[in-house]
Amino acid sequence: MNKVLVLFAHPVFQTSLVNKTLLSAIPESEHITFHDLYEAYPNFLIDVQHEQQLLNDHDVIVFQHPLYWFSCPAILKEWMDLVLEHGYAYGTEGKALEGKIFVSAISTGGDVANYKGDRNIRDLLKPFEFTAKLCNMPYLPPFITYGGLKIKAGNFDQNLTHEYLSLQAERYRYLLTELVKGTVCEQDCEAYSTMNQRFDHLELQND
Amino acid sequence: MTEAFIIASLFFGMGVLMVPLAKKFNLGSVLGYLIAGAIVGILLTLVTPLLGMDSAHLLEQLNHASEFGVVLMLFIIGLEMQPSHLWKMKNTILNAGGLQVGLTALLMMLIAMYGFHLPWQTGLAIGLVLALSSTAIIMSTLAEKGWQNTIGGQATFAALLFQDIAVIPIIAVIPLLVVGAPTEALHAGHGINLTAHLPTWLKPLVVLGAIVLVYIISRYVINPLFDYIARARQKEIFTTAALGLVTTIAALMSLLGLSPALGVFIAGVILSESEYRHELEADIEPFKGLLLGVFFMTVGAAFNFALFAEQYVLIIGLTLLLIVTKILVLYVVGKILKLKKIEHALFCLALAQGGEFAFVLLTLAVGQSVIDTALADTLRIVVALSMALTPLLFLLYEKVILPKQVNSGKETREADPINENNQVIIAGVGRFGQIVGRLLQYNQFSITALDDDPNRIEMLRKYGWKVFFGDAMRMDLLKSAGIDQAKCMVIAMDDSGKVLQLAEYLTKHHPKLELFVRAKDRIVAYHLHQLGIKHIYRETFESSASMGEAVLRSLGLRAYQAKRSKLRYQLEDERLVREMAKSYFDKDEKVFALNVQEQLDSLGKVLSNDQHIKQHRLNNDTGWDESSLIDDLGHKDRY
Repeated sequence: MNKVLVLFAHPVFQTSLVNKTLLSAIPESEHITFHDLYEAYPNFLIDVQHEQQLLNDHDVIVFQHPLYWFSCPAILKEWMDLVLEHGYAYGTEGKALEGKIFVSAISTGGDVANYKGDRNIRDLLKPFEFTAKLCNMPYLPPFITYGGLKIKAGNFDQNLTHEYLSLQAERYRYLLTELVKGTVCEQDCEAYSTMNQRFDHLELQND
Repeated sequence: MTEAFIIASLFFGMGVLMVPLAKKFNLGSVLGYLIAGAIVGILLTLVTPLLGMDSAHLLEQLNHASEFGVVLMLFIIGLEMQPSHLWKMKNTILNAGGLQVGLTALLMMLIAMYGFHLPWQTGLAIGLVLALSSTAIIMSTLAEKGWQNTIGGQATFAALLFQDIAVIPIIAVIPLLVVGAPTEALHAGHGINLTAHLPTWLKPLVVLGAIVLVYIISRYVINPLFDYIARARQKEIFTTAALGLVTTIAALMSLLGLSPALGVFIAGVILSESEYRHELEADIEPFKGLLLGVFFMTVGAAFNFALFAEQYVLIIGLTLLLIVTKILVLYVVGKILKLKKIEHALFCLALAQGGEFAFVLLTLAVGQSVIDTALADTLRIVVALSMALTPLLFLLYEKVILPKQVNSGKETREADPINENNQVIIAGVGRFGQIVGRLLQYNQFSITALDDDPNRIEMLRKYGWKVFFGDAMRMDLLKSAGIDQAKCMVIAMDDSGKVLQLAEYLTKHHPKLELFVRAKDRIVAYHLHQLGIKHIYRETFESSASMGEAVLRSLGLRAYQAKRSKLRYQLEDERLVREMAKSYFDKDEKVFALNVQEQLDSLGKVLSNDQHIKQHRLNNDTGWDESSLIDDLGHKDRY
């Protein structure tokens, strides 16, 4: 059994339907730790030792956050700057995170159509992928929930919205369970640029 | 009555003149009073014959009145001695004080017996009287120099404490040392005595009974009584009650033929654990100060200058003998206490004089026919002279011994130069300035602090703070604190008037100095804005806003949402203060009006501004608010 840490960062979580749904999908489990960065550090005074201890205690790190300007909210950047320090996370002596799985769970305002071609979502998230590589962490394809703006605007049919959100919630729950069990690895995912594609593929096979 | 006014004016006038002068020359207030009294004494002998008065008689009456000051002093000494605190210090007190008093008294007695052929009773009385040192001079000097918490200072304090307590048994013992047959002088000092005709075996029982009675009064009557008085909220009545308590116990003791000083001392010790301790002390302190001052002055006035002129060789010789003997004894005691060089020197020199208690005890001893008047007169001059020389001994320590020891390289703890030239000076290190200071020290910046609370200073110095005693309004103090070299100045005193005054002075005379100023409320903040101060901190602003933030969180707001709302609210409120500061001074020309109506007006403006913010949704982070984006999006599929 793997220990999974969900690092959550959302400055206005109170307004996010998508993330509320996703959080409610996280299984109650002694193997999963949920850590809300904006709630823990409204002053941005990140307790580096505590954070590193959390990382040491877990085998999988899930970074759950909205995509802001093709990156993460400010506190997560601050967290990376301070917690993933040289000699701990990277460098000749920095082997603390070696082998721990890095996976992003991203929510976007735009539709799936907005992240195609030269705005390919996998490419946009390269900074995170390189971070994982530098820390010797296996990097899984990101799990994306699209269309936050449309969902909020009520552009979708109510039923469609509900259907999409519950599908995403179910997939997120499944992903976390897999991560705990250790039944998903980097090699299995090599063929997919996002976790969504992998699920599409798996569900197609199951049908 | 006219005579009384004339004499009172002479005394007060001289005291006012001489005490500050004596302080200026580092001589301490006791000496100032003695000198003032001596001058009044000379004036009186010149003036009174012209007015047809008897100066000796007047002085005697005045002396009786001012002995009440000594009684009050003992009450306050008792109040300051919490039994629990004393118990903790018991070893040092017994070792330092017991040895010092015992050895000095013994040596003096031997000198008196074999050098001057006095009977042993008189010798012992002299020994005990001269063994005591001057608490008033020593403690104020130690506090002034910041030496109370050095090891030498602590040992000195312990010895003084023992002496203060020892006064009580000495007062009890002196009447027993009557040379020859007891005379009517036994109770001459007290007038009426209810126990005079009791059989001897009953007297100790009466004494015991009296002490038990004092205990019962202090323990079970005083607290409910003061509770009752405190509820009336009449300051004068409380003061009256405090003085009444002291006089009642003193009267009771006198009636039983005991020392009133002993009685009030016991009452003081019992009340030292009472919740009214500080009240009592504060109420009685001014009376004590005034009456003790008068007491020292009457002692000064009674100086026999004719006697001094006649026997100056003997008197100077005796004074030197007293000082040398005391230093010798203190040297031995210091060796036994294993004091190190610097500490040892301070201990020896500080305690080497006679004390103010000697005057009280000599008066008592003369009254009880233990010492004759002529001898007592000589001894009074000797004690006073030794007290006058004390500042010189301290000077010797400070200027010669201390630098020498420090230069020899070891034991440099208290050798810091007085001017540290720190970058930051903090005026007022109470509940506000202290936090600023701690944060700075936390970051390895050393600070210079000014404060006028001796207790606080003592505590802070113990932890290595460089705190100067005194009023930050004094320019000389600011200078020696290094105001010319400092970069920042924190003004954090409690008194808003002083804060404004100092801020104004510094903006004018030290324009380069960066000022950080504590403002008690909005109105003070207006005044500070008016002075052009940039860094203004309203004292409750940060903590009450933080509390609001915490309450918001409890109500379910996200931590970061609450935090940002608080910060925005604070920014807006500070903007409002700046704006209102302008209109506050535009409106009219009154500068220091802090009345309630204006506070309310200003509150009204603040509240209406809050409504404006609410209505216009200024309390939002629009960057994270997608509503306009969604509107923009319309029904197109552009995003």
